[in-house]
Amino acid sequence: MTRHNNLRDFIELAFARSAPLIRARFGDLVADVFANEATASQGFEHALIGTDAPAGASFAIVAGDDPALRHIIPAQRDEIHIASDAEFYAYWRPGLERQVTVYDRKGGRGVIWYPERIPAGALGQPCEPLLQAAIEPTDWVIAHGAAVGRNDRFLLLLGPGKAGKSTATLACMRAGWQYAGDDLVLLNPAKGLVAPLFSSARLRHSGVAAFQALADGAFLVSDDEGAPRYELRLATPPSGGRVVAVLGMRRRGLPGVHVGPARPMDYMGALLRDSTTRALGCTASMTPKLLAAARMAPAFLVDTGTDPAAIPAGLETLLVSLS
Amino acid sequence: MSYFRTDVPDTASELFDDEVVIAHYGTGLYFSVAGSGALVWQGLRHGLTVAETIDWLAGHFTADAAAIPAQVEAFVATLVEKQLLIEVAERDKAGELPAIALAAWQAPVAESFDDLQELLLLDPVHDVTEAGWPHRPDDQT
Repeated sequence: MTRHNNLRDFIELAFARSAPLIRARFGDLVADVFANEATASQGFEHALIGTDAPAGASFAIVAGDDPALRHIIPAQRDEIHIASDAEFYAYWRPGLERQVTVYDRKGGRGVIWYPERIPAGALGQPCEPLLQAAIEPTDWVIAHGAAVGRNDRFLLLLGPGKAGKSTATLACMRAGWQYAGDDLVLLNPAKGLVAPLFSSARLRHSGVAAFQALADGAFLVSDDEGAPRYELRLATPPSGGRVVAVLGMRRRGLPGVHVGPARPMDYMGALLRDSTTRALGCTASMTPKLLAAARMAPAFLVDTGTDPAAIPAGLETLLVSLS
Repeated sequence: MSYFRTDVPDTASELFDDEVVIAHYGTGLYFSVAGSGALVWQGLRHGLTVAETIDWLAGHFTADAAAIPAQVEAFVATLVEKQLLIEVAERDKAGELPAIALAAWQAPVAESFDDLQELLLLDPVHDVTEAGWPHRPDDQT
């Protein structure tokens, strides 16, 4: 008990400073999300998927310096510090986006505390480090990727940054497709399913010209690592379904949408690297699930071309061919 | 008689159509084993010895039967060295071998990728002292 007293005390103190914000769904997991005074007005709830279902976990998002919480910060504050066992997961992230994440696995309660400033990226993806810890023992895994679909049949888009995932996702969203995520999605490789984590989408500044109507509706503009991004307000709630194809995205400057055969290595590196880097300390549990997710459905190498308006029709042709 | 386990601690593997992807989160490397290599890996996974694996493959790729033993033995040694196989004394599994769809034999190889290495080696779960979080054994007192 003694070994974890600091973590228990931290969670108690953080929840004592917080009030309920929203009950949110993350795939099978439903959590009551709390916020302290500094975070309650930030708009986190806009990026979460509300639900009335019974909650199985509680998360608190806390920001601002607080002398009573400082005991949780490691002495070696410039280094990553992770501790994980059957009872608790704890993670100290140093640097400009310094934060502490503590999750009580048995109690289903967790806190993320930003002692200085709330990172811009957290506004569109609240509670992400807590979710990584909470779903670790389940069949689900959080993957770096995008997913769009029609009639509950989804395409899973994988690839490194700037491979075309966001452009394809926004183009399909604008054409009325279902949307599960543009950066992070929940995958259940055992059941072949994708589910949304957040009710948010992002638009890079470079994409504004192509998606001006979406940018006009943005609820805030973030500055993520120096690159302006628009956090979009979704017209319809995100949804999930069955993954019918895995797409390894490539951008080669071709004019139209091109679909060809894929090898696992065409998209595996980005999937493993960019997913596990978001969940330090969870690599051993995530990697088998990510490998299995990569073969949930037939895989294709896709270049979505230079005309975003042509992407939905090109991907629709692929979807139909898989019927 | 030696057999080999493919489910090795600190690794995860997944068999795609004709390719095995193996991630080793101890060394931070991940590997693609395709074609002939994937057949060898599947043979060992199904409980064949190296000699039985060679017989199985040499019986199918008869034109390359003379080259197969040395190539398979060297390949298995490489996988053992990279900690992707563990030698065991008893047969772990048995079952039907996969149908061989490969058109021609090629020397089996394990292609390695290191772009995860920095990340995986950055991913230690630190010990904490009996005093618990946030104390680390290497904290200056």
